[in-house]
Amino acid sequence: MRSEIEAERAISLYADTVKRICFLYMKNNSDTEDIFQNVFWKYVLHSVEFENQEHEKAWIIRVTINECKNILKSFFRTKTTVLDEIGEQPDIVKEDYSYVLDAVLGLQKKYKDVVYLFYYEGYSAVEIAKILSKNVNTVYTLLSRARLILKEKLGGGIFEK
Amino acid sequence: MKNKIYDAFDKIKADDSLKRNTENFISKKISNKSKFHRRLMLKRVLAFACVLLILLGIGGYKTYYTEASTISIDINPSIEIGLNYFDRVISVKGFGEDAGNIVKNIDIKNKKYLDAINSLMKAECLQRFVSEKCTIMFTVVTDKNKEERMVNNIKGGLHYKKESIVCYLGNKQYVEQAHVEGLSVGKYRAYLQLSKLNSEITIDDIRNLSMREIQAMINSYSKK
Repeated sequence: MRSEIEAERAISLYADTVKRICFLYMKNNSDTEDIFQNVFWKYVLHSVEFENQEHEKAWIIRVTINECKNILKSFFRTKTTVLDEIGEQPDIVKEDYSYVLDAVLGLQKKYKDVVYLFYYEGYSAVEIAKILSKNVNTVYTLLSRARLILKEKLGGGIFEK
Repeated sequence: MKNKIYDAFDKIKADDSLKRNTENFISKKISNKSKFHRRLMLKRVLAFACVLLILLGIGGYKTYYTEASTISIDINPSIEIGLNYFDRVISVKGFGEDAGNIVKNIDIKNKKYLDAINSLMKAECLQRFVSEKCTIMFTVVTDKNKEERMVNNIKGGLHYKKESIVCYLGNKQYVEQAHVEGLSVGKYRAYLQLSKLNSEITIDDIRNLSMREIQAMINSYSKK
């Protein structure tokens, strides 16, 4: 079992990453907080040593995505509507890029992680395939299709600085 | 590669309260787990200590009541005393009706064997079997390293006429065989000695004889 100090270190390093992934999946703060607690408690309990920081980060990303999917799949979640979801908007983003985020959030589930991991985290298709346990060709296909959809919605300029 | 998707996501940060709440949650969980583990360890240690005490108690009890030596006292009647590792009497057996009655009327358990034998020899119920000419045969069955000491103690430590005391050493394997035949190990040893001299003699032939009579037969056959 990892120590409190190690947990604090992980939280300071990866909290933003976890938050971003939660943003892709979750629509309310209480689910995000649950996921944070679950992900970092699993980190504390995970006794296997990481090879390096990249390995550690990839593990955090994979666990966060799985936690998000688990919460969405849960019986309670599918049969009920969380009251604070209704009308809650992510107000943490400046207006400039809200249309970009809206477009990404509007993608089907299967495109969202690959878009985030590729365009924000900078992972290659091979690395994304490993993290998401998908076939590399599948990742390429998903990226290509997501790119088309986003281009259609937002114009080609979003992929350039 | 920086692009607008990157810039958009880069604005998303975990606020301090979220991080703090998570840290507090983890801290509490770690603390609870440690408390749980400490309590569990304490329970395990206590359980182990209890089991150990019980086993030591049982072990101690077993050790005290494990028969390590046997002394057969044969006059006719025959009485056998079982001793533990501490040379204390833990069992007293009488072979035959007379011996059975004697055993009922004496209390020599937990005494050291010399004290037990002296008490036995002084017992009124035994006195009518003891005469001037009788031979009291002691057969000692014990570990090799104790044989000599026990025999010397019996010969030198009894408050009885030394010339009437005869001591033999017996074999542990004879104890069970003797009991199967309903004899004390002393009488059984004497029978074995006699049967070597005359193979026609059976156990029933000597069962009710006194040790003096058996010894006389042994002496007689030995001369032939």
